[in-house]
Amino acid sequence: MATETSPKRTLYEIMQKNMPAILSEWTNALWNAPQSRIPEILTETQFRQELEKLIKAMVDALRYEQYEDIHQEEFAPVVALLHEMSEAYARYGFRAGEIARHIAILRDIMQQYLQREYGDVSDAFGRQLLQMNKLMDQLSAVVFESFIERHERTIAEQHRMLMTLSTPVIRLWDEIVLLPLVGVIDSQRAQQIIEKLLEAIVRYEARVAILDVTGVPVIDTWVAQHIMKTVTAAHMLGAEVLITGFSPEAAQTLVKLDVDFGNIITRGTLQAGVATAFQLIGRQISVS
Amino acid sequence: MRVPILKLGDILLTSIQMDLTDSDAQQFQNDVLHMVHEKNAKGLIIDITALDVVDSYMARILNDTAHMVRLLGAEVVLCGMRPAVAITLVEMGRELIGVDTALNLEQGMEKLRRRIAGRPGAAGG
Repeated sequence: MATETSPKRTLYEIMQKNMPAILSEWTNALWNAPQSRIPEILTETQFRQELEKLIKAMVDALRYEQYEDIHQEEFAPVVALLHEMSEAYARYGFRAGEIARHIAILRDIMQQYLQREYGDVSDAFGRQLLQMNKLMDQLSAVVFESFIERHERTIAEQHRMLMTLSTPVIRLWDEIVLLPLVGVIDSQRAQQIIEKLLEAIVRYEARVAILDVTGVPVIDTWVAQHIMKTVTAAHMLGAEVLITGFSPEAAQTLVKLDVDFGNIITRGTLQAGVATAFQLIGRQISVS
Repeated sequence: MRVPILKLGDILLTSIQMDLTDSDAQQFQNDVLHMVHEKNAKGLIIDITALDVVDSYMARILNDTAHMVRLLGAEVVLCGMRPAVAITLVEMGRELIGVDTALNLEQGMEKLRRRIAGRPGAAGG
């Protein structure tokens, strides 16, 4: 009779009571899963310890019997651990799905224990199950968020790297700077080009700047406008700007688009541009 | 605050050291024009190295002053513009069209002397 009146255990109590069993089931399931790559990076003991930390943190958080929202304070250690784990795995080239499987398997195990406890499909069981599922869904989301965050960070870093790589300023001679432009020019790069060029003019006291556009695949109205802006700004610092390396296609496009390059000096090749630059500073190249 | 204008032979040298109010700027223009006329100067250098900000009004004053001085028969070189100022002016579409520019005072002086030497009748006078 006593069993009938005694209330069934909650998720927390079940977890609390069966923690060692759940932990070893969980570890084994993941460790022995076909194509599991975990053995490549961890020993079984290390892996077990890692999961133990996570499950202990979870039980701690569940104690409050409030598992609707993992953004609550109680879940902060769980989220932090999971985040850390995801980061670590991602570094070894694991995919998000592989880590999310941790959570999926734990969910299965917990559900089994829950079912065993209730032994029926009563409302109470349904409530516990629903809560557990909510919790696990959110934990999976944490894993995916960690991965996305990491990827976004990587992309941002690479973008920064690309930006510094893509606009070198070369001091060709006293008073001559060369800016070889390579790749597509977007608004961010256009801004960077103008800043870098002006900076270089000031730093090297350049009188002539050569803007080589051989490596720019597309020169449309927008790019042309930006080149004009750059040239005008450089003029205001007192420097002459030469543009070299327009392709025949670019020349055609620019004329057809009615872009006025006015009194800007252009040369077909960088070679011719360099020769002109030397003339402008009152020197000349002699072939000996 | 009035901007001092220094005479250096047949060249006038002026350096704007702080942001000018609109009326100061107007005063500056007047002073420069009168000075050029009075001293019969052949050239004028305006140095704006100290200016961190050139708004569109100031840009117009500089542009106009240069053209006016040229009407009085003197050459003008503007020198020392900061990169950030140049970028801002270009973005505003307020380029200093038709004003000769130089990176610093040294290059400006050189440019001005070349201009003056290249004027018709310069060899004779």
